Amino acid sequence: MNRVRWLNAQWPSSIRAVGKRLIEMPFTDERMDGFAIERIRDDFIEGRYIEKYNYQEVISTPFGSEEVFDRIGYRTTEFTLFDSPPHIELRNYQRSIKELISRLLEACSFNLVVTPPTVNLIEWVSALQVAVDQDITVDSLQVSGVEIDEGVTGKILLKGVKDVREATDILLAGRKHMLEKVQVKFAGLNRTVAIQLSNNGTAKLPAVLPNDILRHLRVSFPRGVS
Amino acid sequence: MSKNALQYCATDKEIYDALMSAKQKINEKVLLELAKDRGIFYSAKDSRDDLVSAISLLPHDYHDLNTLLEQREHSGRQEKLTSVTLPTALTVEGIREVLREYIEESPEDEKVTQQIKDGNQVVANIKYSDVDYGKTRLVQRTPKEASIEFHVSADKTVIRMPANDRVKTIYTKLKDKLDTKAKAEIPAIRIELGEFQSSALRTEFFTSLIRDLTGFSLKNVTSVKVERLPQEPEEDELDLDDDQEAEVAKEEALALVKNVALKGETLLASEEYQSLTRKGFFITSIIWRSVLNKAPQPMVEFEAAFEDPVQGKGFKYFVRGAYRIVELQYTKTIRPVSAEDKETYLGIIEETAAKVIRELRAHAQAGAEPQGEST
Repeated sequence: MNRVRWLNAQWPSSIRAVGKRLIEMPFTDERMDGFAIERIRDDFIEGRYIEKYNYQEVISTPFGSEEVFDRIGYRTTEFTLFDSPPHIELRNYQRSIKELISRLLEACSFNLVVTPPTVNLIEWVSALQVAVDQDITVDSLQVSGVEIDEGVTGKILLKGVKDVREATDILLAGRKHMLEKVQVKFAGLNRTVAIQLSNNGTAKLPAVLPNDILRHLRVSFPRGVS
Repeated sequence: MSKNALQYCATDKEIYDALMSAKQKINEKVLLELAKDRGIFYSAKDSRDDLVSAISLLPHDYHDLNTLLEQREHSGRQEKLTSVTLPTALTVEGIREVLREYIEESPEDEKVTQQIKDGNQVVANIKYSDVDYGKTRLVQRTPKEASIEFHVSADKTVIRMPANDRVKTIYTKLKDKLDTKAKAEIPAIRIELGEFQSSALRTEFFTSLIRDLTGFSLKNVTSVKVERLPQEPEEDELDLDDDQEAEVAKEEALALVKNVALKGETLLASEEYQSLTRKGFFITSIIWRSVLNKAPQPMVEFEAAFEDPVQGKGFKYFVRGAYRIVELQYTKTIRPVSAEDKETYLGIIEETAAKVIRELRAHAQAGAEPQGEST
């Protein structure tokens, strides 16, 4: 499973200038974290952010004693930084992306705004449909904060063998709600592809990706709302 | 020592006030426990007021009062520190002599002791009492402790001390004595930003400090206070009707934000903070977390601030504690840092801050030179 997250940012300078600064912060043997930049173009930077961490593994032996091993681990986040929204794309990101954001801040001399977007999923799905140029089925959908009665709200998960959007419209007609997650399905090269999208701008994709799907998702990413 | 021998008799009213005023520390549970120690069982359903009222009417001896007051005490809330660098070679013996002189003439409510640590450090421990007349009589006097550390090295002496008024007075007296002994005024170098009148440079002090902290890498900024430099009225302004100008000044003062405190995660990347800096606000206080680049990689929380933000004076800093890694995750609760580690980390902040000031000064001078203002 691939996890992708998009964030909005305001770069203080051109994307090439940001790339140059990132090259000056490489990951080396002596450092605990750093960047490995692969490509810098006028409109994007592609690279990886690598973190090294130390930890101790404690193994209890059958003889009642403990053996302690010092271990080293590495965490890698692949990213692409764009000069147009959504500006940051993180692939297989870590639970905490604070280190990466802090490092980007340093590279931008602390003149960087990073905002997690709030996405209108319906808009995203419709735009995706246009981008991939084929029918997309929303086969499950999660809404929260659905106003059932005064002071009573519900969280609803809808699943279907067909598109659930229509049924959702009937169910939620006129009620306050928040669309949190959707799962969309469409025909890939020779099999069905299922993608989960959520309103904080993240996507869960199958491990083997059909051509261009990431680009389609990015292009269709709603820009208006941030 | 006549003051210490004064006898004091606490009335039930005073005990009542002392108990009532510490709502958090002395809760129902503590009150029931206090009574239980005397062999009295009150109902767990009694209100706090009733319990306090009943306990305050009991006879209290010296020991009882002490136990009661101990319950009120704040446990280990430490003060922020500040430091002064004297760029002259002082000797450990010289400092001890000055301290001995000071001890002889120190005020009655102050108990000063001194000791040598690691051969190149003199530590003066000061026990004094802090009096707050606003409090109820029984708790007006709070015993406090402070230590002034003299770190002596070949070409300079760094004096580290708590950033409070009482210690400041003691430091001034000690410094006078050191000056007298040296028969010259020893320059005292402090971390100050008064010379930088640009808010960008003042913010840069903090951002460089958190970025360049030797051996650490920045992880998160959780609290920031920003303030605006007061706008000086320009002298060569178009001189219109005086009344009108006063009117305009009044109008401006209506919707004026002087300072803003932000709390959150990776704050410096937030839109709110960035828009404030664009409007000319600069950082005056910051709490950040940095990871030590060495196993076991604790995440240390630091704090740095200026006592007088507009003047850029009174730099104070503190190591708030550290988060440890447990099962590849940082713990949720902060733990105190060991004394040795704290000492090292404080030294790192001091060195980095001094280095950043030197860089800023060079930067400011380079910026001023093209206009022929270099000095």
